[in-house]
Amino acid sequence: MSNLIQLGYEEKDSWVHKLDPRTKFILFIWASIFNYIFYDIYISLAFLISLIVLTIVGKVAKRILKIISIVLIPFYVLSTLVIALPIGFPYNETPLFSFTVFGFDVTFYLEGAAYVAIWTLRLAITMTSALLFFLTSNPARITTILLKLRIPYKYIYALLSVFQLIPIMQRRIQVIYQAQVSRGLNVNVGLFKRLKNFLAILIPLTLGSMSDLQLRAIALESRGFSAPVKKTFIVRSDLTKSDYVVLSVMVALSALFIYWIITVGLMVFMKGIPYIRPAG
Amino acid sequence: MSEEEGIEVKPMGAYGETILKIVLIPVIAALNYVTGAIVTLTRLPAFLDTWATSFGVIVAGLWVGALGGFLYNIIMALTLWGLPAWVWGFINVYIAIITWVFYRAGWVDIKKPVKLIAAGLITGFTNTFACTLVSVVAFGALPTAPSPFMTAVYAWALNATGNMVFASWMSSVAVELYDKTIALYIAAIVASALPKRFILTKSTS
Repeated sequence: MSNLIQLGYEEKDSWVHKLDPRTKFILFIWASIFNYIFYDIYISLAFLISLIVLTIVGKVAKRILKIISIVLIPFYVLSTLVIALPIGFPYNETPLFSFTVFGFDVTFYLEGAAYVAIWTLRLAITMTSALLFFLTSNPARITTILLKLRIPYKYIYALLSVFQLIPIMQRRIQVIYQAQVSRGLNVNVGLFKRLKNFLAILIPLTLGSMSDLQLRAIALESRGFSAPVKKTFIVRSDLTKSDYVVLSVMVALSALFIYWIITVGLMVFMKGIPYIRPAG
Repeated sequence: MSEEEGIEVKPMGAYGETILKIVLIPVIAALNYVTGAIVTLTRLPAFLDTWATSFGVIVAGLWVGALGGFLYNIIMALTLWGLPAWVWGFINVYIAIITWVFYRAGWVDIKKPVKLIAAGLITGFTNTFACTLVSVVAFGALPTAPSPFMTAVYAWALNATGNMVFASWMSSVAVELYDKTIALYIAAIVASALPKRFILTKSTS
């Protein structure tokens, strides 16, 4: 799955790109928390549609929707087949529809279908908001902000350099794989041989990465990586009017959500379906 | 210029090792991440995305493996899995700790396959409880892996007991035992293939 994602920030001229990374990160946390609190398809759908609009404005909708569908469609289909069918989900009571397979009557139940839909939407929202932050935030601005928050530079380096390393390693895997195929590597083999194939790719990749380690350490030191001096910033990151607008909307909606939770409960618009906790 | 002309060549000290360890942390995270791509290429029915955490512990010590593993889950939470999945990071920290314990005890050694397999099985079994907890909190105890085998085990357990948490635990057991055993074995094999100059930890032997 991890090879399917084209990681990384792309410079684009959009309103979402101009937002401060802190605002987008708060949006990610805020959207995720409220969606895991509410148990309501309508609220989750409203959140998801709003986030998709933001991804369109941010010109990253295509990338995000591709990732979301690759991850969540199998999750949704498999979970629905297990939970909404009469396999053992204990809350299934209301039949949605029935059909016949090989002479057996199969019924889909409302409670199971709703449970899977809500959890899938929750995941879709948290993933969309995370990717919106990640794909539209300039790493240099993130570094500046993290340094301002007094996070040691070595940890910031560790976090941000992963995103540079992953595409490098993915390219190397292809090179090693092609080389191994030319040496007779066959993927249509038994389990034990597949494990050997795995090692045939993994060991050169790891050895190559380890031999780069010293080079990278020297390169970093030559630019004063661990010099005991105050770091200066090339890029500034300040909150703008747009950030304050987005933050204000989040504060106002939070007040509304808290009001709903106190007065109505966790299911505001969805009626006729029980609130189900995974642990019963 | 050479040493004979008066240039003093110093061995790499603790300071240089610290820099190397810091640079190794993102490498560990990236190796865990790209393992998914190699698994897909070689069609292995496993995840193996903790092997680099164990490898980091063997090569550079507990905190490097733990931070690398934790970082991997932060990256996954920011990209593929979403916010609640950052708690998987604690599973990687647990994997790092248990690997370190077995490594210090001399069990993570390809010359001692029985002990190494036992260490993997113990790691896998104890890890199922943590996996189930994360599955309940982050994924509603639904079948999370897009694997027909795990889903079949989940469906069987749910049908037998009507308990989603138990079904989730059973599907974890079905995979974690062999997945973590193979992952630990791979970490030991790759570490043994590494030239000694890359090993930043003291030998257990």
